Amino acid sequence: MKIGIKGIGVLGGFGCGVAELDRALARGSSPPATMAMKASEGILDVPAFTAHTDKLADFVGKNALRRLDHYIRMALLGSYLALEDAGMLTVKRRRMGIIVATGYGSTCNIMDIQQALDNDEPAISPTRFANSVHNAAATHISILLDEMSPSLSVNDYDMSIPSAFLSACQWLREKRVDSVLVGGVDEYCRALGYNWYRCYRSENTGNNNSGEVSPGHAVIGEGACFFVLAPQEDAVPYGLIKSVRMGNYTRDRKDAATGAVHFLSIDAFSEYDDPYAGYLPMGTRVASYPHIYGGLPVGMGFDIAIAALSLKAGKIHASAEGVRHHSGPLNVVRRDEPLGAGSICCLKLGVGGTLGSVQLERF
Amino acid sequence: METLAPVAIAGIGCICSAGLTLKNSMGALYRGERRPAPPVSFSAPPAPVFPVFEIREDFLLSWEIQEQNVLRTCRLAMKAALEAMDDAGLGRDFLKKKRVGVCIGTNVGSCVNNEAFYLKHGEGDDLLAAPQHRFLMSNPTSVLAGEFCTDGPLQTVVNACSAGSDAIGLAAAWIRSDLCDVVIAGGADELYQVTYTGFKSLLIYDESPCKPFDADRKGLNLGEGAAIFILASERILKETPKKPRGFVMGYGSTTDAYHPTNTRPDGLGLKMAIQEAMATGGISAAEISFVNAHGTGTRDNDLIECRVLNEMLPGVPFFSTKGYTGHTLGASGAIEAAFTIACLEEGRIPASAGFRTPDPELAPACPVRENSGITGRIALSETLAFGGNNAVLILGTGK
Repeated sequence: MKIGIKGIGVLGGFGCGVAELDRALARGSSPPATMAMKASEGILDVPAFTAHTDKLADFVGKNALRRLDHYIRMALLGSYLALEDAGMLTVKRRRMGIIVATGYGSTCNIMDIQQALDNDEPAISPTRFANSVHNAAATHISILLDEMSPSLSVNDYDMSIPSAFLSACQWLREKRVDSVLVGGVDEYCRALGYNWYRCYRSENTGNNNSGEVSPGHAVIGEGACFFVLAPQEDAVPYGLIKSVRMGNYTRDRKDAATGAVHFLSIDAFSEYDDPYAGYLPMGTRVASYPHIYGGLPVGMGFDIAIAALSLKAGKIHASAEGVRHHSGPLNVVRRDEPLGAGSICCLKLGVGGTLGSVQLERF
Repeated sequence: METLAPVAIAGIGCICSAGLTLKNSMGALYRGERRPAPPVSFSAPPAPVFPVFEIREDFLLSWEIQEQNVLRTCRLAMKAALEAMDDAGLGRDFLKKKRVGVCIGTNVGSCVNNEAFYLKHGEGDDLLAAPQHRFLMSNPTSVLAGEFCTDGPLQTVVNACSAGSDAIGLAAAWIRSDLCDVVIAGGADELYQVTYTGFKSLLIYDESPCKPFDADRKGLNLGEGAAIFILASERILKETPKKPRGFVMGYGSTTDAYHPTNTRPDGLGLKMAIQEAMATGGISAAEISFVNAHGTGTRDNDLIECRVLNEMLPGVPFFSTKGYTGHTLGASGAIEAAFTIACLEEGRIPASAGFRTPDPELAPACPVRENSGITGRIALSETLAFGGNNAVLILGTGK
């Protein structure tokens, strides 16, 4: 069975929806926000690509949103946008699986709970506790969509997206479901901001607000990226999923996708010694887009969205400048150029030698 | 829905407050031993202090593993995984050049690793290195994958309390679809101040030892532990020294689409999950020897489970083991699946711990009061979870 992408819903520092993502790619930038935070050093200004969920009001009534935090709202908005894009928002859906990936989980919520308990507060809010559970986003998606088919939440840090896509394709091939709403969500919190500030802010700029980062790292991002996957016989305007692979690149793997343009996922925290150049054949065309959506564990989801748009338009957008630090002898896409006949492989070489890829090809 | 091929269970390991191995745990269950006590591994908030099922004994691992900066959840998973490998008669070298996946369910294991990272932030960068490393590296799936040098798919399932069952069901599909030769699958979770306080805040925590299915039940007690299954393909089984202990025969999962923490009153989600598990296993209700129920001891969970059992599996013996282990959250589905296989092997099921007085609201459903002999080689283990997740495994020792 061939599986394709029928709809995409994205939100992040670039804006909301595929059209705004496309515009940010054409522009070559997204504006980072400045997140002020108090620390032992004083007030710090941390640049971050943050997401807004105002548009969720177009899909869900105020009452239903009352107890939902930012993390859940981002996942919900991504889901609704993907269903709308797939033309499945108003039709009666049958057997749609839901899979939500997250690298950090509900960070702000969990952090607040942990700090409250550390301060010897005797109780925590039941709602806050319920929303801190890692499957809270999937829960509220299934409730608001009234969808009783299988639901899965996965949390594999920077491998969360390939892990989720692996199961989505598996469910479709097993015919457990007719379609899958699969995606990822991660949110900014002040602990992440502080850690980034201490470790990865460029020492050269002297400007806390500059958004300049030390080589090879991205400004922190947050957001959600969701997809409706369906068998090829259904309309799949964004192309097909050629393969989903997971493994460990330190185990002497020689199975990089040949002939594909590679979108390299670069995040905000991981330390690497340019593993991409060691894994990919010399001269492989590569691009990376953290300047559009930032660094976050589910960043590969945005790469998949960008790959789908590239397949549809037949062109590749210019890569971020920072990718040169990871590329070595690889061939970085420096300006917009035609895609050609090949496929696009979204690749993440992650913490502990983990490898995950999702390869897309034309319909 | 088509019938799927059973997937072999080559080995099982289990650790919980009932025992440090599966064999020891089963011994405690059949002897009716339960050891709830106030927590010592974390500082409980001010009184009242409620009981937990904590593992108090040292469980020794190799020096290298002990020294790693990883969660207790990871150590529990590792202990169970080493037992499972030994149970299967497999050494680490056997896994080399095989397509080995790791699929682990957890709940606490994916957020408690953030604790130090969160609490230490803002205090200067000298404090960041260890918490950051733990944050990035300390989930049970990646720790097991690193320890056994695997090169296959990884998945950490965080479907709240059904995560362990889901992980086993999903891992079986990896074998069936020839994605993997071997999958290390199961669940692991440790006791944690946030879940302890959280369940108390929901007013579903019993201040006394829990009493699943009892008329006087007041809620759950938390526990900790892990169970790991070594699932293997038919081809790999020919290379292993022992016969499989059993098979994953069917799996079903659904969502209630109802409420974040309450179970759907009509039990429809659970019914659909049972139907899917029976259909994919090609199993009829008459073939089910017993049900290892979720049986948390909360009023609503036990009521809805019994309504569904009355309708779908009337007269089939059932019990809950949470009176022996506490609710081990993301580990519970895997631990109870391990108990289910052990009961099928033994030909008897343990008394449902904590049950004394039948609840007329649950009738005619009533759990077993004493250790009871069973016939048949197939049983059903069900888990329900926050978020409305329902997961059902049908396990067998042959058909």
